[in-house]
Amino acid sequence: MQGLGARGEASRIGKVSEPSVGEFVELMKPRVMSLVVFTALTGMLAAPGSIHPVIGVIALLAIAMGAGASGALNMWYDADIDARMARTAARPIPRGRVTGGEALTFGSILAVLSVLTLGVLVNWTAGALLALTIGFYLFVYTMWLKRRTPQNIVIGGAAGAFPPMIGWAAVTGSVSVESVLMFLIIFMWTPPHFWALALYRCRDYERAGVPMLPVVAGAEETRRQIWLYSLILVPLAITPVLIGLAGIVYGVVSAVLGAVFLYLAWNVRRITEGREADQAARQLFVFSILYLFLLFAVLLVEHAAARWIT
Amino acid sequence: MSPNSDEEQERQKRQRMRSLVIALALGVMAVLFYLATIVHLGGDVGNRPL
Repeated sequence: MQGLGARGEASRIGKVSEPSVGEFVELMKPRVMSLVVFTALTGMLAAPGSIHPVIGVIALLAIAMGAGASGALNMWYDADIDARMARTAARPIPRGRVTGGEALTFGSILAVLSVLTLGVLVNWTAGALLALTIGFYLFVYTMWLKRRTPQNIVIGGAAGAFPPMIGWAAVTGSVSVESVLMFLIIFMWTPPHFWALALYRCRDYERAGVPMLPVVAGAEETRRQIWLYSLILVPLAITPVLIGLAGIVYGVVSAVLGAVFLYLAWNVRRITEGREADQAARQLFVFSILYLFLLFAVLLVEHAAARWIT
Repeated sequence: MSPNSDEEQERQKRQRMRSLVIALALGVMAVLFYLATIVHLGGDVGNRPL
């Protein structure tokens, strides 16, 4: 017996579910999950005060579950455009291994459980922030902005910037200037990161009808905006030193990495033709991942070392 | 064995594995709730007027 699911696709009502455990794990976007957990852990360690290790682990697990829920719900809603893009065509739903209904059910249950677990067992500030993150990613970015505006990942990027605030709130029960600064660093990092990807995957996004900036405004405007956001991001990423959130090691590392980031962003601005242009965009994209990882890694190590010493 | 029988066995194996993972996940959640309750109650919970 067949019927139409929420996205107009056939759902297998009455048939026993087929997918494997691995395919449900794929729905959760495990690489994104690990980055979310990592930045949340950094927020937890950077926060003043302490948290019982058991509660800390529970908080991280709940945050991971929430990130997984967001991934599954995004894959449910975007199954149609995922099928049209080379980068995403191998995902479980376009591949026919998981139905949209299964992904929706799985994501919804995970979302509710993760927020309840974090709220009940840790605190409701962290729980509310996790609920806001999941809701923002699904309703604001995935369902509303992604298909409608080239500013989709600018505003939608806020969802990826919340985890350190959630980690901070798990310890302190509140939001602070420091946690907002960590949010802002990821928020300002998101546009150059995703636009670098969109530059060399432009045809993929065009085919799928996603209004990424290179598709709507052209490559030149995208390069200009990547450069502008990079100019804001690099000094912002050094600011933790000025407010006591980070030490001198972080300051030096951030300055060096920032210089490399600006060099690569300038290459993207400067090289506009041929394979070299794609290569410059790809280099910036790859480095941007390392950049964010190293910034938060150094911040984490500094705070972990300080706790261990005192 | 016929191909259909192989497919059916494979499908049942996937279903069993999913059920096992769900059961384990629920068990882990129950344990975590229990541990978190112990932590929140504190160490001296038994020492109180009844």
